[in-house]
Amino acid sequence: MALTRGVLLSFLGLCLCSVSALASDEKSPQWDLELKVGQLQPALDQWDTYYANDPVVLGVAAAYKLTRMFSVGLAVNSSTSNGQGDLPLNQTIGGDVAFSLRPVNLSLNLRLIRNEHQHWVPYLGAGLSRVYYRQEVPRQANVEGSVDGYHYKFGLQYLLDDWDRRSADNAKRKMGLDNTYVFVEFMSMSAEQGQGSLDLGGQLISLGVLLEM
Amino acid sequence: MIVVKKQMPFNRLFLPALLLNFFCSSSVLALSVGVPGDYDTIQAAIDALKNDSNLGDTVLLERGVYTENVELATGITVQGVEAKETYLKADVSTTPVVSVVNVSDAVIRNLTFDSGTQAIEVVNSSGVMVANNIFRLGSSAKAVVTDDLSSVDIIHNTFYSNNTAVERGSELSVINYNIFSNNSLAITPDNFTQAIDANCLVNNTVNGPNGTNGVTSNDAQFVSIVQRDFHLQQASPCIDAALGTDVIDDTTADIGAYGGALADVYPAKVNSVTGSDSSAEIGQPSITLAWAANNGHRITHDTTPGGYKVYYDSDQSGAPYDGLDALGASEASPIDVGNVTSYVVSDLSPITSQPGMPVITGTAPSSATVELHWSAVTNATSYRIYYGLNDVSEHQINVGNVTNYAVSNLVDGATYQFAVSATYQARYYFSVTAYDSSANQNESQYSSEVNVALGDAEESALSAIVTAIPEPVSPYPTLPDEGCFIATAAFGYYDAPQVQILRDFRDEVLLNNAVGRAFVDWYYASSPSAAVYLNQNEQWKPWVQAALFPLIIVAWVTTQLAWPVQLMLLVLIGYGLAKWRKRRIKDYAFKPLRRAL
Repeated sequence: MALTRGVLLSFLGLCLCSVSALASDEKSPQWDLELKVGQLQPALDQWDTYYANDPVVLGVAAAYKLTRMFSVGLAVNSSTSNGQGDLPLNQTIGGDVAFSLRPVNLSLNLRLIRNEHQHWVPYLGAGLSRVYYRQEVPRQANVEGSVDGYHYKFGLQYLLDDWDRRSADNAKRKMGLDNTYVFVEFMSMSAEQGQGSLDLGGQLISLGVLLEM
Repeated sequence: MIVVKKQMPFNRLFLPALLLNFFCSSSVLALSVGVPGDYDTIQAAIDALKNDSNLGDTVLLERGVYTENVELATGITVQGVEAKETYLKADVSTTPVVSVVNVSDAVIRNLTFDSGTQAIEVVNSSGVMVANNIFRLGSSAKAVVTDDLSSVDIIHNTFYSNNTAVERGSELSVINYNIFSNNSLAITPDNFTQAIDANCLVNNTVNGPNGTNGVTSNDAQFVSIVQRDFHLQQASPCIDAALGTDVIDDTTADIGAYGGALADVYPAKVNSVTGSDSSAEIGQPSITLAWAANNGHRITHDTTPGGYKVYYDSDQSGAPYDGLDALGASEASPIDVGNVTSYVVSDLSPITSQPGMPVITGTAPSSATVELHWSAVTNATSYRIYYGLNDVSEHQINVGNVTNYAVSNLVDGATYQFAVSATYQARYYFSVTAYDSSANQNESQYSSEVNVALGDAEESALSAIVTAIPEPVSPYPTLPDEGCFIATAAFGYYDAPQVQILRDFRDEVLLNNAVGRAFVDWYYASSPSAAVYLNQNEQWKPWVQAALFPLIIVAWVTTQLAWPVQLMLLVLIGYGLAKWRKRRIKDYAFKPLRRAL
């Protein structure tokens, strides 16, 4: 964990130092918006005992581009898992539990892009997380709260515009969309509750669409 | 609504007919295909038939609702089985439900149109017939529109409550034997006055050209507009007022959708059927049925009425109703009961049967609840749960014919005993039809089914007893509840009684309605930062506690007191406020006087 945190802080420092040194690129998009869907493998070690499946995560994110390569983004993800809880007196598990996680991630992202027509764009990012949680059990009070943590991610984007240049030009003219990418992303998130006994993070693999404008 | 799925490429009727045509090319063989039986959509059926060179092919629509815009083709008849029960609705409301363009020798009959901005549009077509349909599209829609090149026979239809019933492009189109009732405009334009004969014009804002032999009246005497039954009652002025003969009863043709040679012959189905066990009154196992009268003139005529048939069966829902045991096994189903609206099915012989014993297969405890699961017993008609702390006979619940049930309002932490029994009671199923007074005794479709339990319930032995402990579920992972952030910060700790009161108020009041849930969502999004500030600035805590005090009182009253006490408090507060306000007004009114003195 300490190693991860060290890598993360080093990356953030490198990014921040680099921002000021980078000159402005050719005229390039200022914002991007991404929509993604993925599957979270929770870090909780007994997850499989209580919940039937790994949660499906839906996410939306927006980022402001400091330069063509660096951006600051805010992402909101959401997942709800249905499972069961402990019944200590009956010494079994049972009942119906709906466990919702809504991580909010503030990231600094680095995209390794050299020109606007680059088809494959690797990227990476890291930042702070706040994971809002909510546990709902029928006929019982809800449990709600939040835990702070951090995350890092990397992925690969593929430029779609050259597949249908005419549509891409139309999208640019009518909606101001400069580029459209699809991407695959791996994210690791850690948000530990208490003294580290519970980590509400996990590893998320997702697919999505990125719109630059 | 009919779900549009795949088109069936060949069907049982169509393929042999095509082969026959191939070998006997001179033959004229009209085909009839069913929707949804042979094709999933009307258009699919038309498209399959339109390449057939024969005229007179029919697309027969079963009773139901069809939502699509249809393009009719030459030589094809689109016909509903029963106009009252066969609805053709617009999929795209701005397009005519049926478009007839460059078509000859086509027929649209026995359908109800009640949606879209236009039901039928005919363009450059000849030999088209629109017959025995019901148009009830609403005050902004047109029913039938023809252009100046088309010849259309618009006969024996009922137009009720449309903006424009018929708009002709020329006098090539014929408008005969139709009922126009409560339309904004019945027939237009005014300058085409020919080829209009024997229509019933009732309460239209503008009739348009009346033509010859027309009947005008203030009331067409439909059976029931609310129930969409446009059959005519006995006193209707539109009965026997057309030329020709009714297919229904071989008398002079009526005007409207149920007159002439092409009308559907089905009386409207019987409504409001009820049944009850009347064994005690009758003195033998009996069930009394009652239903609303079908007021069609052929059913309730003073001198030649139709009647009703009672269909029944024991222990078997749905057709065929083949019960045999009524009146000591001398009244088999159906029973012709004549022109009455109630009937006692008497001297029945309900079957008795001891059901087998169910087996409890699982228990699922949760907060104040235990859900039981048990095996189904073959002849059981319901189940009964027995439970208690010391003995299962303490409580009983009849749970119907299910194999799982959640027993609630239990005490958490207590060990309960549970057992289940199966019960059997004979049950009779009934449906009623109406038939008319014609020689054929045309009969309606079945009414909605009713069922009545009869005789003593036989109960099985109790299942083996199982135990379970209701208890709150502890969700995984165990996480702190940070709800009521501000209150927690103000009162210093999570379990403070004031915080618990607010938490109860959240769970019992706010989260039970949409506005409350929205407030809770907003609160949890915005309050953590305020709570952090409060923790960092202790001097504000007494002020926040004071501000929260009225809210805590309201929350306590709302969640802890019974509603009569809440009501009493409300009255007392209202009385106090009224007195206070009156006192203030009094003080203000006498202030100048006191000043003067």
